[in-house]
Amino acid sequence: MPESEMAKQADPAKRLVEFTDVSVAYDVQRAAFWHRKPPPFRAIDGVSFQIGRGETLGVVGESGSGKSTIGKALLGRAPLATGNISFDGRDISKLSGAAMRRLRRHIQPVLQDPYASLNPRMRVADIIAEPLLVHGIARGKEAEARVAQLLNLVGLPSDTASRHPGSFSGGQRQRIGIARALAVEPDFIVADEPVSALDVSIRAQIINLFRDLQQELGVAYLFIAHDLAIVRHVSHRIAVVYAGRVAEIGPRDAIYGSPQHPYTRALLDAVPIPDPARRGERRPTIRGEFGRPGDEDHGCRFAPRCPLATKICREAVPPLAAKAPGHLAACWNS
Amino acid sequence: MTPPPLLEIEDLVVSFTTRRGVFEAVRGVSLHVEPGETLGIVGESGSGKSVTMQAVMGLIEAPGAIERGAMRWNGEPLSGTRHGPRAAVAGREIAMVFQDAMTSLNPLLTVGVQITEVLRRHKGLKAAAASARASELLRLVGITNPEGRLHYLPHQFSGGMRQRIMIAMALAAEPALLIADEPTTALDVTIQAQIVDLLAELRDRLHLSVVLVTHDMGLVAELCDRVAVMYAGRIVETAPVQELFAAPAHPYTAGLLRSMPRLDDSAGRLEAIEGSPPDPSDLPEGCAFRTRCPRAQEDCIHDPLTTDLGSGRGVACWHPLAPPVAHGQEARVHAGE
Repeated sequence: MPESEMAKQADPAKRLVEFTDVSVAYDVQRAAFWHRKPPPFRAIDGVSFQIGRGETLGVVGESGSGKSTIGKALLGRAPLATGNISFDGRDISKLSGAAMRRLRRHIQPVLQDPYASLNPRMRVADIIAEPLLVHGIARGKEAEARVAQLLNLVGLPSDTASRHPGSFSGGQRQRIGIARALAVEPDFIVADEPVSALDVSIRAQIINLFRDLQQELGVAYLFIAHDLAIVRHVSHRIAVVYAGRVAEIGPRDAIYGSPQHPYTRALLDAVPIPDPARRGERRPTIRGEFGRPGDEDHGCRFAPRCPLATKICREAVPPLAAKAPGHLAACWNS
Repeated sequence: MTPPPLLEIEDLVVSFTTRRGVFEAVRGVSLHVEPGETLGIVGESGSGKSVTMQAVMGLIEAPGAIERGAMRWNGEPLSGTRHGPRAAVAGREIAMVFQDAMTSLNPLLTVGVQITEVLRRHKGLKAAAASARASELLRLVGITNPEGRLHYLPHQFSGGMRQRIMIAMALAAEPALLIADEPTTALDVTIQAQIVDLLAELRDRLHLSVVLVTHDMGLVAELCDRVAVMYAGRIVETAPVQELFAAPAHPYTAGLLRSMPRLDDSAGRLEAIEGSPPDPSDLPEGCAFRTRCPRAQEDCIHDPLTTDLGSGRGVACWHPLAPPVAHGQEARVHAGE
């Protein structure tokens, strides 16, 4: 039983986030009025995992895998079709509007594009202080002092406060976005591809910043990325998602050292080896592209691309089963 | 006499006029591409790597302008206007593949129409022959049922397939040089690997020279023979790929290599380069990297000259890292690793 295996991973007292069989469904427009209405599209389908206090779960998947939807569901911004999400012991899908707003203080987003997510007409000080005002935590001089403290925390000079986001580089904007997320002292940050839009030399700075802030503040992260190399340096555990389902989840070193799902192996194989002396060692890539034809839903969604697929893979959905303590994979052949 | 390089760029300067004034995006770039070679041009956004190649293709448009510099193709000047060479060579003998295939393909025309147009213009083929050749090209880039797919519109293909079609179009005129500008950046990880494998295969099969413009050192390691590292509009280091990775001479190159998240090291803190890339309209005096450089000293306020380090290596730095060892020793270093 997957749930009982999952329960072993995080000490219940330290458990902060728990997804139990969560599906998010979006209505699909019919192609024309005489067509039958298509069934809702399940962006994620039966996703279960837990995240402990101060822990980072890296979520990796390709575009359309549902990785961002997992983050949106946790932020209360996606319609749940099944399952429930609990945060700090409370079921967030059952919360009233006011209670949800109070809870939002504890779960903050950091978005991918620091160019699009900061209001260019606001001063940096006001951008960072806004959540403090909204949640009634601080105002005036007190908020100003908190902004100075936050800028220092994310490694920005204090004169940043009076400037506008337009005058900053991508890396500095992402630091502003992180300072804003931290303003209300959240327990949890959902970071959706926070370094993908940044220059190579800046990525490492921001990844290090996430690590340092976690050590200092004990904040937990859901860190979403499309690349296994990026999440490695921030994650304690990693979930690999494919076509809306968790393909594999486990401790970081187990995922990189002994991947159990053929899709995880394919993602690892796809990363170029940054050493010309080892050219040609990268294993051949899996063929095909990610697609989600509805009629293949009886089986494993990766089966059409999988080099190991057998008859059962096309007929039955593989359960997420333990391959080692705390290391689960949904594959009939692993 | 040695034959001239396939492509040669000498002291290229490209400027852009903005409301804040004129700034130089490319500040005196010289490079060459030999027949059959794959040259990697590595740099971050704003380093001038794409603009340099756009100048070669004659794609610099106002407010951009080529201020200075010579470009030669097989030793002959790529003559043209202030905005770049005429389309005679660019487009036929030099073809370019861009990052975003969706914006480079016409969404209203079938891919068949778009590929046959290239074939008619550059190869003078008639309709039937062009159509047959277009399916052949699609098959070459790994698209199954090419005859049927010729009638599809670009949006009917996935991102990876569109990038394959872009490559087929670029190859239609049978170019000698293919410039690939971040050809995999917009794609999913497993599709990136497919396109990299396809580029390597086509290069070997068709004896193409390739210029790969990228920010990804991993791609460079996989595909390139030689590398030019750009920073703030200049080439700061050139080297054969093995030497560059084994013993980078420029502190920026070394920083880039160290800060890469990789799969094969311990998962501790990354070694980051401090600071941010400079604003091209407001560059530090002298070496543009000095404000971020751990090795910077007072003399870095003067423009560094490019020092020839021998065996095809060059570095523009007053205080390069440990002088690279001679070639024979290097080979042993590799063998020992």
